[in-house]
Amino acid sequence: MIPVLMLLFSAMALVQFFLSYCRALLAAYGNVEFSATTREVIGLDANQIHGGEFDRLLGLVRIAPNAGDSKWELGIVTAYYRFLSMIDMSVAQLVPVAQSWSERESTRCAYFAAAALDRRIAAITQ
Amino acid sequence: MRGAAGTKIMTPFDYIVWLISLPAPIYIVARLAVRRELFRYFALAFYCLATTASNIGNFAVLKIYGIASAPYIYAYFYSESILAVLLFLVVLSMFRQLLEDMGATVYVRIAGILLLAGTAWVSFTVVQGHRDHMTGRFVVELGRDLNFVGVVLVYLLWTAIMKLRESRARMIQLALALGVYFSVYVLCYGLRQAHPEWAVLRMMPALVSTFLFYSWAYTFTKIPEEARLATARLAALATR
Repeated sequence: MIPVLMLLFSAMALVQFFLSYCRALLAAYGNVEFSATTREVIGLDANQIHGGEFDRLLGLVRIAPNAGDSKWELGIVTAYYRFLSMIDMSVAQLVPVAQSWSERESTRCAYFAAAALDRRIAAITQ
Repeated sequence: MRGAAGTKIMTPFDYIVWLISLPAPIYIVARLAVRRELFRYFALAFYCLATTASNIGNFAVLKIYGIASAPYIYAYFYSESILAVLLFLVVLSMFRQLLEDMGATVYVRIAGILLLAGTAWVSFTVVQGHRDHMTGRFVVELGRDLNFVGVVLVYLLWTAIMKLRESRARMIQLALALGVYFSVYVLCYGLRQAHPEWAVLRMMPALVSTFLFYSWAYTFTKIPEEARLATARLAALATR
């Protein structure tokens, strides 16, 4: 019984730590303003970015000259986005609150990808 | 060499993870030394050095005795237990940093002494009770229990960070990475007892240990000491 409780507590703690860790990485990029070049490249204004754009933006980040400064964050945020996609396909189908939460978080991931692209574009245009 | 214990042979995966895991803790210590932050993060730096020593030592034992040998299994799991206790000191040092503005560091010291004394006493009692049969199962259970104490400690630390609205970005990221590490470890230990045939569970400790050091390395490299975060935005299900 005790080992099962330990497992359950650890699983719950893992979800909480992982989500908060990802949100801590994303928090630094929430207010980044994009350059005109970035807006032109992505074809969107900052307020038009939504979660569904993440993969496309990530693709653009990958073909942009690598500034070598955001691999770790990109890896973690990509893992977070995949996790959100799983939530979106499972729990969110039944729980509307989970759906709006996962959409909001996915949008933050996409915004992060656009910010990473913006940084790389800034590195070559400066 | 974490994660390799229990398998019959060293796979290329084990070698790769071992090689990848070596530079990060050394980098962290070097960076802290160069930035003159070694004293501030002494427990963390000591843990990094101890992990490096443990990895190299375990590799030497493995080469001498073989991966399926009892000396390697015991060296692996007992060094892991000692490292778990050293990680408690890292968590306690974070508590001290968190509470130093409130002048509560003396309580952290007392709590730390009680925790370490309690852990030593429980471990000693358990070892005494099992001295006639120090089996692999026993060392695995000891490791799981120590890591579970780690989960609880980091959970308390995280709760304190949220309640006190601690905004130091570095501390937040260091603590959260530690929480992920301890939680995955306990889950792997627990699931391994139920499903010893799941190969992925043998790989996870090595991977999550590597994650911890690279996450810390990232934090010390990218996040300046004075960087701040709004903690309210970090709650797992926060709406902002």
